[in-house]
Amino acid sequence: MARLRRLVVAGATVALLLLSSAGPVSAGGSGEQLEFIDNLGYVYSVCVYGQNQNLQWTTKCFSTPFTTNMLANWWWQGQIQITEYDINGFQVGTQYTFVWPVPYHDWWCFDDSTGNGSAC
Amino acid sequence: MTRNDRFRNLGELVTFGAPLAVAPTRNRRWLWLSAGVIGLALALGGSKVSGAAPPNLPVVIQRLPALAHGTVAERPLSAAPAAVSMRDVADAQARAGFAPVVISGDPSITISSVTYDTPAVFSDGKRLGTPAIKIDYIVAGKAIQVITNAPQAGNSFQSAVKPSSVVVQRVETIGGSQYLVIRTANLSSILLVGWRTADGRTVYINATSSGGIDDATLAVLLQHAG
Repeated sequence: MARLRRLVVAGATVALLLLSSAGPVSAGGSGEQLEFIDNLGYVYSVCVYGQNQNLQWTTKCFSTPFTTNMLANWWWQGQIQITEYDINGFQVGTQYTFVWPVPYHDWWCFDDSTGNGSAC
Repeated sequence: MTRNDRFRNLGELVTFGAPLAVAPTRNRRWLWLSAGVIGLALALGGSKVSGAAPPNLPVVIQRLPALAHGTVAERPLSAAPAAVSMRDVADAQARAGFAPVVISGDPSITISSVTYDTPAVFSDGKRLGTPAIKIDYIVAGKAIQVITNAPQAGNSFQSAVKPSSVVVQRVETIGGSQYLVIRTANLSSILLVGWRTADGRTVYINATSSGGIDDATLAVLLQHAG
């Protein structure tokens, strides 16, 4: 009986550890990384404001020298605000996209020439 | 100073420095009247000139080489940029310390919100952005933004573009002033218009989220921008 109790406690402990561990974000499970596509050809920096995978409000800024910029390692969900800047750091405008966490997708593509976003 | 000295000085003023020829006393009264008329004309002309918007600074577009695709890293912040909602334009102007470009005087144009935006400050001390006032408008059912960035020194509008197959980026002269205009590839819709005012404010009209505006709408916006 004591052995059974030890097994139950050990199993429960392992299960608890697995559930509470802060492992890597599963693909599309609770957020998407942003792929900022500068089809306008005019945006050299962005600041993104919104909720991360833990539903915490946060702001992150990135340089965007490419046409397709992978804003890696930050995960977003819900309505996010993207403030855009030109090469001199002057603000060009603010756009919004609603990020739907989609299973088996890690990226949310946003096109600044249309303001459209979708899982990609 | 005698009365004659005053006449002589006036004559020098009117004739732009040339000494006044010997004027009979009776004609000096006409000289006064002429000077008054000229002065009035100058004053009226001057007020008319100062009432008109001075032309924008010249636009220079630098075309940078293509960098198609890449992963970018976060730039660590010490102060995040903030967008502060303002009651109205006057409130934003008082907060920012400079006047935004405002589009008014046309019943089809309404303001939906006014925001005062602060710059981002990175952990290395560098800044992104200047204080800016963003005004959201509804123009003939379309949402557009007009962003006025704080005045900066300089005598031209230096812009840089990346290659794009989706849009056309070029300088256009409208009403005697130069603008950076970004249009859709078929040129029918205007997505972004940028310019720099004579006093150094960088201004953008951003219509990307509403699919762009046509030339007639842009003409109305610029006509009512002040």
